[in-house]
Amino acid sequence: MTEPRGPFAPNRDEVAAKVIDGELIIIRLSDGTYYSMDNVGARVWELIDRQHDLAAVIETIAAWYDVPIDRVGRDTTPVVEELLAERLIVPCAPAPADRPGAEARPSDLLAYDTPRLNIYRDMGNLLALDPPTPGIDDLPLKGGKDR
Amino acid sequence: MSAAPAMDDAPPCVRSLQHAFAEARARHPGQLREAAYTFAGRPVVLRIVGARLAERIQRPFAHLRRRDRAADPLPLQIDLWDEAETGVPFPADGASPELEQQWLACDGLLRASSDGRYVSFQYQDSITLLDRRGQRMIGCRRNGSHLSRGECSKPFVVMLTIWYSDRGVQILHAGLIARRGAGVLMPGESGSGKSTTSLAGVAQGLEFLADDFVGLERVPGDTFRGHSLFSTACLTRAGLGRFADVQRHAVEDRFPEEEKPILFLAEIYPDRLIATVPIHAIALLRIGAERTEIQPASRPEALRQFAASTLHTVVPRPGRAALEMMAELVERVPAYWLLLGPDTRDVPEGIERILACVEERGRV
Repeated sequence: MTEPRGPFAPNRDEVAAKVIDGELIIIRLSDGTYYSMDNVGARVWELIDRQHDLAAVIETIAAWYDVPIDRVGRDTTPVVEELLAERLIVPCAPAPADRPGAEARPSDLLAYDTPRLNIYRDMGNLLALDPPTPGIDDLPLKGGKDR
Repeated sequence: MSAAPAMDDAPPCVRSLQHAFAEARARHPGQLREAAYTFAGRPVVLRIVGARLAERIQRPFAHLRRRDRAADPLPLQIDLWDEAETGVPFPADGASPELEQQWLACDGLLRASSDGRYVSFQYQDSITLLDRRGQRMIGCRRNGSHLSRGECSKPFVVMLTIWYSDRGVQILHAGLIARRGAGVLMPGESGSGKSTTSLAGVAQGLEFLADDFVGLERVPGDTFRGHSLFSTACLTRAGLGRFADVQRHAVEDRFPEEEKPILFLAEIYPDRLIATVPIHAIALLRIGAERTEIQPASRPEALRQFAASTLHTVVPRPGRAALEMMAELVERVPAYWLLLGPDTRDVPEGIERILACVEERGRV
């Protein structure tokens, strides 16, 4: 498999994501599978969300956590590949200010740990056996809603 | 009663339902049962032709019934007739071409017009159609004496999920009980203890709003209100065995052996059912503890519980707006683990302690 380069962006047509208290929760709306990443993983997602390419993500994380860049690369690349394989992120156009170090170091960083994508397929697997369940977003009311 | 807007511009399949309802009503004027309700603060009128059907469909909404005249314009009018009681046939054109989008859902067929205005749900011998712009629901049941368990305990749940969602009320898979008007929301997948905890609470004096489906609404002032949808609780036969006082009230009807009996709590605890409460706390349930106790829960834990449970249970599946609302809820409302011991009599004390912690936090 070719190493991903990016830049990427969250697959906004298919997923909803939210960071709460440093933990990222992602829902794939088409089948209800949900994912989580904490600490470094959540930071990786935030940088991806700002359309940095993979090299910029790795350099930024290495600088923020003061960890050797090759270790961050070894840790981060498989996670980005997994995000792509799960269709949680998709390739996109580069952001205008895409350069390493452009992001200010957050003040609330925890200690570095290997980013990991946790996948909760328990019910997702069951759903996969059934026809896709319709979502409320599949039923838009054209012309707006009257509350 | 106020009339809902007419569906004059409706497609033929909708008009055929309207005409059939009108015919049932004209043939059996003495069989019309009309009652007014409040669903999430909005007036609703339910008109049913067929006494047996009306008795069954109205029963889970008993605690939401209102005595005064409904407002005008009416946010929702629901019209329903019983083929067996009226002789007016179940509509044959379930496959009407106007509702061209379709999905299998909850063992039934959900269909929608291309503009999303008309949505219908057909399940076994029932069909219900919602006109989202006309604020009207209309449908038929083949035989009001032989309804499914879901229809007896949570009528119209799929159509109402859409109607509520259109009004900014998100249906969550959670129980909701309250103490002196302070609501405690309990998300969790099936088997997590929602029904047992809700029933244990109401049996010992707490207020009941829901054992598994609840409406959540943002209100001004950055707070949330929880709305009761149904007055029913459904427990396994084994679970009911822990509540000797209410066991005799359980309705088993002709449901298959594997289905849970229904408790109509408005009939058992008429003073303990309420329609709406502000949400003061979130209780994440965990069964199997040696004794009932509480522990603080993180906001990500709370969001995971809401998301996992709701996204896999509510149909139509909630979307992006629901996740946003759940995330906002866990950001604003404190969450605790309620570790459930074997004695259900300890539940009110656990709830009491959670609310005391919330009060204490509010003072700090």
